[in-house]
Amino acid sequence: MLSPSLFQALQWRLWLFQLLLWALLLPAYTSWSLAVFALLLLAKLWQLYRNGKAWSLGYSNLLAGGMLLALLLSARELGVMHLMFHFLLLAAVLRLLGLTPQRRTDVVQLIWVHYFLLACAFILHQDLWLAAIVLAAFALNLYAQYLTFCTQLPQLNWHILSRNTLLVMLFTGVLFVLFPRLPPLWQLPGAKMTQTGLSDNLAPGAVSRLLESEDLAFRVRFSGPAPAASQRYFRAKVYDVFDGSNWRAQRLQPRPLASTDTLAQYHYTVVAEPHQQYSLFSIGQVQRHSQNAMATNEALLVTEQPLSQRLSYQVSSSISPIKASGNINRYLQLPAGNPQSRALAQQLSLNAANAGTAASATLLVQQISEYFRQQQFRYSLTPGELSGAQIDQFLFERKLGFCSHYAGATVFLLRAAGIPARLVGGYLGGEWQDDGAYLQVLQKDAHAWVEYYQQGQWLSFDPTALIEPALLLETLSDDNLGDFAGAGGDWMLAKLRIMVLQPLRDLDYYWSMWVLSFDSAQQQSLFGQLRQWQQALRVPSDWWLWLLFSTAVAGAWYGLRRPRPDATRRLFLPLLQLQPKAANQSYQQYLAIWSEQQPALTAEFNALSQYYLRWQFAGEAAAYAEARPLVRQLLKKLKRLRS
Amino acid sequence: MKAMWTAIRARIRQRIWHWLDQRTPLTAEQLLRQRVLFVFPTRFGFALLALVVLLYILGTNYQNNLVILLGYLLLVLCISAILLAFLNLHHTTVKAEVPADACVGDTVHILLQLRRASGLPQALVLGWQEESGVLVTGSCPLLTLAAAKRGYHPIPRLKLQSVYPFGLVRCWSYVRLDTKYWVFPTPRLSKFSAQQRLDNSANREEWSGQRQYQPGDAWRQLDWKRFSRQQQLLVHQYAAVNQPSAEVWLSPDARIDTFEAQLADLAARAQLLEQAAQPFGLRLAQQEVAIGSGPAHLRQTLQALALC
Repeated sequence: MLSPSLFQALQWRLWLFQLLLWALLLPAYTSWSLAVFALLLLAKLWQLYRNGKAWSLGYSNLLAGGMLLALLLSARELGVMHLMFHFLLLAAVLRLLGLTPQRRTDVVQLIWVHYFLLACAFILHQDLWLAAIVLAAFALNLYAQYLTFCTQLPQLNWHILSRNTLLVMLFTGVLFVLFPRLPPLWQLPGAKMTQTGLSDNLAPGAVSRLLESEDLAFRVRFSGPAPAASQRYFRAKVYDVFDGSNWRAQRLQPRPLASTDTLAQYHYTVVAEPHQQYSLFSIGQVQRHSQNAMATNEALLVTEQPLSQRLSYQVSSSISPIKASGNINRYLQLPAGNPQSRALAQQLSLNAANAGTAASATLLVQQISEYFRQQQFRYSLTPGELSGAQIDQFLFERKLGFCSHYAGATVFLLRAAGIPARLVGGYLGGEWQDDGAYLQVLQKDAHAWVEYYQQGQWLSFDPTALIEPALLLETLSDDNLGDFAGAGGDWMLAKLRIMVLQPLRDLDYYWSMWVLSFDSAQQQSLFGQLRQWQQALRVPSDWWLWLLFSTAVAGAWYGLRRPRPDATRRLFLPLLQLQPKAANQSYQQYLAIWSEQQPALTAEFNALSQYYLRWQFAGEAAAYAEARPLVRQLLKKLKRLRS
Repeated sequence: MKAMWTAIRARIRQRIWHWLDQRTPLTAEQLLRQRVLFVFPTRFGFALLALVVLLYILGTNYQNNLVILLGYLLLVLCISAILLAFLNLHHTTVKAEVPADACVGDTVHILLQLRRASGLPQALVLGWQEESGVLVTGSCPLLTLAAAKRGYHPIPRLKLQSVYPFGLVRCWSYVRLDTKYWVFPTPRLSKFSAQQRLDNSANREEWSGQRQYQPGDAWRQLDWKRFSRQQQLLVHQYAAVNQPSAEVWLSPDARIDTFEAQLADLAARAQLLEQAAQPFGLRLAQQEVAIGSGPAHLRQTLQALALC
């Protein structure tokens, strides 16, 4: 039975919690269920304002039954995980609506479900800011739990509260760092969400939208040297099938990485944003990678499950041609049509054959780049829609486009000339952030280029860079400010965005680097680091010296911090700590009170009193020296009596 | 089978009580030290621990550090709840006031006193040994006991418990206090004694005069007629015709069939004699209370009746 005022306060907190939860679970919800939950929450608000009666069980069950039916009907589109979220939130909201002060168990169950729902929110969001909101919701729920077991509205003591919070955080951190990590025990259903980033179907329209997006794609930290901007081609997808208008990538089969003799040049950690796809990002030929990623025939990295939450993985790779394996002939596939382009390919191939004796593929590529340059192709993000024979239209009429146009046309020409080629999608460049600590790659850095086959290797070639060499320039976040000078009204907004948002993004990066991607490997490396420190600090026989030193430092600090009490106070300090002395009491009176309280120790207290008087008033220094052990003995006896 | 099971359980229970009694000697006031305080998770506590395991599995399978972090946060919460629940009761001193005497069938009220240097335990539930108890506030909770049997009884083991602050861990203590209470036989005159009293009162007391009313005099004895005439409050006084014999010895009336009824009759007679300011003594089979009068003497007599 909870008191009315307490129950009211409790309900408000629980309501606020559910409101937060509702907002946090927004991405998981379809619009109609969103509306139903909003209505239910409003109904609770109404009930709270009007001090209305709790909903009866029958009413709630009827509503729950209807909702369940609707949810099960849409189960297919929701996916298992979101269905579970729905059920849980539905149960929680209805329970809140039917809450009565008589049944504390209901409140307790509700709080339990709330904790679980918070964990679900963490599956959907890992950003620092949303995590902060989730933690705030946690605090709210904890307070509600506290209220449930209070007898009256508590007065919060902020001093003690903050100290305890700090302690709890500390212990949680220690557990987090020290507790063993396990690999996933079994597969769990992922959240169904819309895919972002480069899709498996490279349609020119989608790419141009992507090239305007400021959203984060992934972040990279290099340990050791980093490649220059012109070499930072992050491969994500290989598009091998062309249907006349779009390029398609096939789902790749993972395969253990073949050992190569080349040395890895670059070692880096990538924190990829969730994009609900399988592909990961890597530079050039991957030599080694962490366990949570898998390599494919095409030397790409993929995940086992669509990436639904931030993932951090380590890669070592070298910028070198990629070893070819498997069936090469499928990279010669072309649909019928585009006769002009086919003719051009034949002609360029002929030119290449005449030009020299070197490998024909490289010569042809040179011919193609020569062609682009001579025909004055230009770079534009808004070239307009292509229709019909797209390659012909691009190569002979428009001569205007962006990466996917150039790369697509080049692959077409190469394949038409009988050279296996493929279109590679990924990201190029990126911006250094936080004084070069990490590289931030946005969706607008998406890029497409070409890989062609020659003598057992895939060589890469970027036709777009020929047309727009600025793509290869190193951009620094601070330099960008100048670019907005001519952009009109948006300039201020853009500047504000950089000034305010970038530090937050930096913080978010370190959050994901240190908290989200903390795994057993990092745990081990941290232990290793600790061991190194230990070894650096340790002189085996001198450990006691360290102990002494630290005790001395702590003691000195303690001593400096507090004024030294006078001799009398020092003498009685152990007793004073047990029971304070009133200001108007003399020490003699104080000891008399003690001896009254502890009849068993009257003799000792009287003796102590005598010593004190002799020292204080007769000036006998020896009495003080005798009194000190007596106080110590007394303290021992007192402790024995008290415990 | 079932009987055997019950017997075993009773045996174990007895063992536990015995062990508890050894741990907590009988004292006038009990300081709740670590030795006498026990903690154990509640159902909710176990449910939350199960949630921690669930979150660890969930977080491991989704490779989601934040879910794991939340699990650890809850784990630390559970662990600190142990400490907080313990500190809520720790160092409290419990003491019971000596309760007033009661008769069989009455309720004994036992006033407890809780003391602590800083603050009092929050959300404390108090009760006797194996009862669920009631929520108490303040430093002087009042507990009741049904006085079922006459005698001089020690108060039962007191159970103090609290799930404050998070309801995850219950901290409790069984306190044995060295406080005893008297339950006297309920005074009930037997028909023989009542008859005798009627006979006596008919001829034993006679009007002997009037005096000024004093507060405390029975209203029945007021001279109402005179009050209505002269507005003067006078009280009738009666005196026994034959002077009370110096000593009256009470002894069980053999005509009453049960021993308890005999005791009830004796108690009633003793009270009547005390009201009449008649000194009396008590003679029982193995015990004797010397002649005397006054409240203390009555109490002594009743105590003798309670114990025999």
